[in-house]
Amino acid sequence: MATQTATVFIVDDDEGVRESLGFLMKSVGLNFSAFASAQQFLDAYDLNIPGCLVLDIRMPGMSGLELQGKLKERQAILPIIFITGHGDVPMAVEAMQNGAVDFIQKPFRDQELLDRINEAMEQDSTNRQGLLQKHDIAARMETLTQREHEVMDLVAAGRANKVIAGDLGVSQRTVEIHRARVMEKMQARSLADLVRMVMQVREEA
Amino acid sequence: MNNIPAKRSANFEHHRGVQLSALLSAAVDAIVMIDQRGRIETFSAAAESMFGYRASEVLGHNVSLLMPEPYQHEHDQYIGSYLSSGRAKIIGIGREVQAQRKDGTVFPIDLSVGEFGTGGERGFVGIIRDITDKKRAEEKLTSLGKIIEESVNEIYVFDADTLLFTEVNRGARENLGYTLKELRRLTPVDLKPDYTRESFDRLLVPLRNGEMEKIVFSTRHCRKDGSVYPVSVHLQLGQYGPAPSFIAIILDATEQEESKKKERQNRDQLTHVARLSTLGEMAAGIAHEINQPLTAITTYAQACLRFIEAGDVDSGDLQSALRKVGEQGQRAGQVIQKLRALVKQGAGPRELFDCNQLIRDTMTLGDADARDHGIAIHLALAPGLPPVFVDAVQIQQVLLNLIRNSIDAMDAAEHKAAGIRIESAQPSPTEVEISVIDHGSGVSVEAESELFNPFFTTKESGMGMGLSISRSLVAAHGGKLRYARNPDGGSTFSFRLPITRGD
Repeated sequence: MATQTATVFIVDDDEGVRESLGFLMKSVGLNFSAFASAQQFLDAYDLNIPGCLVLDIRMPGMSGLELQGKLKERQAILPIIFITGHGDVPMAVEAMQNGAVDFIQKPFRDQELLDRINEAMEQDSTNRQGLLQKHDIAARMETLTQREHEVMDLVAAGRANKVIAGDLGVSQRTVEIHRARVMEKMQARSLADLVRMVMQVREEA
Repeated sequence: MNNIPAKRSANFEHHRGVQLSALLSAAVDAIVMIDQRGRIETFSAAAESMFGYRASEVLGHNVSLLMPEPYQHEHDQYIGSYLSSGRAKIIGIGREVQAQRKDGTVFPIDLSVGEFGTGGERGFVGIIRDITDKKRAEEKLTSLGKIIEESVNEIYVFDADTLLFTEVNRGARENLGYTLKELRRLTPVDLKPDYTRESFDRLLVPLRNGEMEKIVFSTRHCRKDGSVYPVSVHLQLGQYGPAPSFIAIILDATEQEESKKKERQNRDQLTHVARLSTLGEMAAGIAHEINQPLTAITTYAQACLRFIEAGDVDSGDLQSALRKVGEQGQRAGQVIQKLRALVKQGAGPRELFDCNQLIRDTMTLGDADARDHGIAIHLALAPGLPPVFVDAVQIQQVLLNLIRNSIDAMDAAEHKAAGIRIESAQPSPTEVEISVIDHGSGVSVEAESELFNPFFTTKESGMGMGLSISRSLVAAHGGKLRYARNPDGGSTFSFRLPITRGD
C-alpha cells in the first residue's frame, strides 16, 4: 500500500458552495478534490487514498445518503462529514446512524468545518493503521499450519496446555512446541498480545 | 226456479216461464223477487252464487235474511211504509246498500228495485250488483288522493293546453302561500322566475311529442311573498282528468342545496389547509436556495481572511474569490425576487369575510400547534364586526405566522401558563384590527428595528421571512402590521384591515 497524501474530497452539486469550499481548503493548505455529483466521485474514487469526504446530503441524482451506502458496499472507510441545509436534520440523523462522522449545517463557520475535517482525517489515519495491522496479522496467520491454528485458537480461548493436549489427542509436549511456533510466527510478545491479535482479526470477520 | 201463479193459458204460461227462466239464469246481476209481505218468490242463479244460498233454501223466506242489521229488522217496515204512503225511498231509484251472505259476511251492493203488480197482489223485483271491487277501487283512489294532498312534496297538475293549474296539493299551497283558487289562475311559468312561457314550452316539447316519458330539472320557485327557493322538478304528461294534463312532483331542494354548500365549504377549508402547508414546503425550498449562496459567501469571506492573515496573499486568488462573493450575493437576491413573485402569484380571490370567522378557522391549525407546546390560545373576539374584503388564505397565513412566532416566544418563557390571546376589535369606523398577544420572551430593543426585515431572525432555525412576508401580505390588503411591547412582558403583533362599505 503506497503512502498517499491525505485528501479532502468535496461533493456538492452547488457550484458556489463547492468552489468556496475548495478555496477554503486551499487557504489552510489542505489537499482537496471537488466533485459536482456523487456519481462523479464514485467513478473517480480510489479506496486507498486517505482523507475524508465532505458531502452535501441533498443533491439531485444520487443523494449524499445513497453515496454513503455505495461506499459502505465497497467497504470504503473514508470518514464522511455531511453538510446539511435548514430542514435536513432527520436525514442527518439517518446519516449518523449509518456511520457518518459528523454533520454540519449550512451556513457554517469555517473553523467549525475545519475542526471536523481535522478530526475526520485523524480518525481515518487511525482506521487505516488499524486496517494495516489487521492485514499484517492476517498475513502472519496465513503462515500457520492447520494444527498450529487449532492450538492458537484454543490458547486464545484460555485453555491450559494440558487441556489442549487432551482435546487434540497429543502429548502436552507437542502442544508446547506448537504454541512456541505460533508465538514466533505471529510475532506475539506475550500471550496477551496473541489474544489481542486473534480478536482484532476476528472482529469484523 | 220459477213459481209464478198459473193464471194464463197453459201454453202462454209455459212460454213465459221458459223465457223468464232463461233471463234469470243469464243475468249477471242477481235477481230476487218478493211478494208484498217480503217473502222471496224468485232467486236467480247469480243470486245463488252471490249470496251462497241455494234457491230452495230461501224461497218463501223473508228477504231480510239477505241483509245485515239494522236493515234486517227494519225491512218489513220499509215495505209497509211504502205500501201505505206510496213514497218510494228506493223503488225506481236504486242505491248503494249492504247485503249479507249465508256465511254472515257483509258486502256492498248496488240495489235497484222495481215494482210489479197484478190486481191486488203486488210484488217487487230487486236487481243486485256486487260492488265490492268498485268500492275497493274507490277507496284506494280516495286514500291515494289523500296521500297526495298530504304529501310534503309539492304536487301540481296543470292543463296541457293552457298550462293553468288544475290541482295543487296542500304541501305546495302552503309552501307557496297561495290558495288553490289563486293558483288556478296561474301557470308554472308564474312560479318559475328563470323561465318564460317560450322557454317553458320548449322544455315541454319532448314530453308532448312522446320523446321522453319524464323530465327532471332544477330551477327556482317564487313564493307569493316574493321569496325564492331551489326546487328539483319531475314532470310527466298524462290523462289525469277530462283533458291531458301535466303532473309535476317537486322537491324543495333548499336542504339539499344547503348540504351541498356545506360540503363545498368543507372542501374549501381543506384547500386552504393544503395551500398553507404548500407554503410551508415552499419556505423550506426557499430556505435551502438562500442557504447555498450564503454558505458560499461566508466560506469565501472566511477563506480570504485566512489568506490575508497568513500574509500569503495571491491577489489574483483574492480577486476571484471576492468576485464569487458578489455573484453569490446576486444569486441570493434573485431567490428573494422569485419569492416575491411567488407570493404575488399565490394570491387567491378576495371575498367578503367575517374576520372572527377567519380567526376561528385559523385556530384549527394554530391551536393544534399551540397545544403541542402546552400553550393555550384564548380568543377575545368583538361581536358584530363588519366584514372585510380579503384573500382569506393570505390573512390566515399572516395569523398563523404570528401565532407560531408567539408559540416560539412562549415556549422558552416562564409565563407559559398565561397563554396566547387573539383579539378582534374595531378601533375606528373604517378598520377592524386583529391582535396576537403573547407573554413570551419578547423582542429586544436592538432587534425591534429589524423585526420586519427579510432574513432577520432571532430563532436558531428561523429563516427570517415570516414577519417580512406577513407585513407584505397585510400591506397588499391596505393594512399595516405593527409590533408593540407589552407592559407586562411579551409582544403584541396587530394588523388592521380596511372595512369594505357595502355597495
